[in-house]
Amino acid sequence: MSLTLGPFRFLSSGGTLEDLAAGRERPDALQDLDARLPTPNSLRRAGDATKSAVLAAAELLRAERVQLSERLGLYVGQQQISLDYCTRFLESSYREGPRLASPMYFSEAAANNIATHISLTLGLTGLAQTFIGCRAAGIQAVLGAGEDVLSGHVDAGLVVVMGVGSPMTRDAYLSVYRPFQRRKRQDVRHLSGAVALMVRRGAPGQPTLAFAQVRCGGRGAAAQRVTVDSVWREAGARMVPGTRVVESTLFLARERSRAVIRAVGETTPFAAELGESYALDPFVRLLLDGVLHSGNEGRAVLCLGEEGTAGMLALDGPARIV
Amino acid sequence: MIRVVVTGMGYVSGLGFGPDDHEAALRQGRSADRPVTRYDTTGFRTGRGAECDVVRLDALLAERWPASRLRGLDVDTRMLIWAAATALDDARVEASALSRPLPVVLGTTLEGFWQAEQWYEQSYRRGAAHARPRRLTLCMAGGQVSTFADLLGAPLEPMVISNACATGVSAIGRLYRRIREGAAELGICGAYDTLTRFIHLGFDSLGALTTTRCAPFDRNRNGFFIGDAAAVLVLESLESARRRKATIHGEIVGYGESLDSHHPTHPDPEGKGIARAMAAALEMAGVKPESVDYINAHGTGTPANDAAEARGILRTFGEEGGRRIPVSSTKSLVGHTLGAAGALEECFCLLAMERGFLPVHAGVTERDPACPLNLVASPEGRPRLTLNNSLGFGGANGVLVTRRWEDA
Repeated sequence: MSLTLGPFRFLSSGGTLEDLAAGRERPDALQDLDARLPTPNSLRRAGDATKSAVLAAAELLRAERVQLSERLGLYVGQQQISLDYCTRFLESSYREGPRLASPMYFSEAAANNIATHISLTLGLTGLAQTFIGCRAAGIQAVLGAGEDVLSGHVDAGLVVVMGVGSPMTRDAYLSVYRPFQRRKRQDVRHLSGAVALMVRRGAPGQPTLAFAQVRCGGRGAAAQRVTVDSVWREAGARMVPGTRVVESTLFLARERSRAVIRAVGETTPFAAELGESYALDPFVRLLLDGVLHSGNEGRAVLCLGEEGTAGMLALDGPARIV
Repeated sequence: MIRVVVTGMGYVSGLGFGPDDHEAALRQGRSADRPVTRYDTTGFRTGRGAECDVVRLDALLAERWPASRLRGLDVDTRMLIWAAATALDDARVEASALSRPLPVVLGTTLEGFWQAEQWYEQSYRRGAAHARPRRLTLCMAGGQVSTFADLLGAPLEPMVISNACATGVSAIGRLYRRIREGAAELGICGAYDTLTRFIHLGFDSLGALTTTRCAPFDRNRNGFFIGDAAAVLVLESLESARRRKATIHGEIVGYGESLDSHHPTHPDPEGKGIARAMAAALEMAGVKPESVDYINAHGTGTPANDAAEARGILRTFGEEGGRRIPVSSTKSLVGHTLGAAGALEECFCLLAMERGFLPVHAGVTERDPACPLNLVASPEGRPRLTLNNSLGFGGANGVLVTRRWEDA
């Protein structure tokens, strides 16, 4: 039996998918996070992105009436380790001195801390894995969950993909891609948030996962073209005809990345302007395409990380959102 | 189910490079603990760690690639690519000649945070506009994988896992299961992490670093020191290994994992979570607990971790059995290599079975009655079935069961 993806639960600092589709980001979108969290006290030190990940997972499991057991696996995808807390910890060590740096910041900086908060809040005892390192980390999390569900290692996978932009990430990317315009920090808008989704075998009413893959052939544009071509060609053989393929690339490297993708093929034009959300971005675009264009066509997203990793995720129909 | 064997290994740590350096240290109980030179430790509670020999690492890399191709790479990436290339050589696999992209499952807790840390310090002290940008994308695990693909000249199917201190075991376990289920025939897996100011200070702030010596399961244990390491293994189906006439180092027969769901940084004191992971790994291996004849414990040397793990071992193997099986924590020798620990310790289990010895447990002067384990005092022994434990932040547990290769 094939794998199905969904439903999806999405929370972001910019508002709902409808808000984003209409181009009206709401800065107060996550204001009521604490009130909605199942056990807000245990998350008092966590940032909004972490809280939104926990809440998205909790609300999805509640909506789907998923029974918690050791047979439910948790798979988290995020582009980088928790840089927000890394910088807070480093800053406190510079400011207060090495012996007074706060251990609270350090424990929140662990890359798997989102998985830790979700498992502690929801009481998950099966397995949890966090996938990191590139824009396609969320697709890697889906692949990990899919492997485990298909092999019978777990009955279902709860995948949570995070998008969090720290000032450190922004400044570092600016220093690489806009070395002479570093003061233009306002040029980089971040969209923080999370999407939670279920990966199961043949769940009724959910689209089937037609294709998921992540490849890396190296760093240069020529190597990236080969990588994108190989992923897209393989996906092409598996996607349903007429599938809409949207693309996801790093905001600051977009022109270069688009040139690589255009050399291979044309993606579906995408109207909405979004803040940068790194590993979350492919999922936001996949879901937003469903909001902007109703219809039963297959949906896919192709993402190209600036470091050369390309990933693709394709569904045989639109994603269902709860 | 398809049998999965290890046909290649490459590993580097503060103890040295590859099997010969490590065998000598593991037999003698020689520790790599020494003063850190990579960064200024003024004001730290302890300035000790186990850095790898970077000069020798660079010399070994220079035998493979011209310096121009290695420029700008941090220690993490250099260790990773050396370990991975060595593992592929050991397995006699030419990645660029494979008909499909090579599956790669790697683990790290820090990616290339050393570079990010340097950049951030400059940015903090002199302002972002004055920080010299390094090649930022090299800092990310995806960038490190990309570098490896470039140097290898082969496309990869990468997956990078970060599961705190259980990362290495998680990476191996994932590829092991993939091959066992027939979803892949051959791939590489492993993990890497380096000592950085950030991680050193982080564990220092938690009070987890020893100010004397690392002595896991000792009554007066007071923590660990951190070490550099990268460890990469080539896993493949037995059928593929036989077809290629590859040398087999051992057979992975079981993998188990669990979550404590107890506390962000402390393990469940009753050891229930790690016990569930051990039971799951033994069940997958289809072996009875009494068949295990060596346990490479996570054994960080912190009061909470060692007590919880000892309880978990006694739960799994019984009060009597748990006191009988030889146990050692090699962290007293190589340091806590964080995400790389589980992968490095898996290499130690394979090495011990291949060469017929038990890694010595060093540092203990007074046994803790709360940890009544049979700690390895002498390298005499020929383990046939090993169990490799990893316990991480967030209560992430992973266990591998590995069998000595004896092809009848």
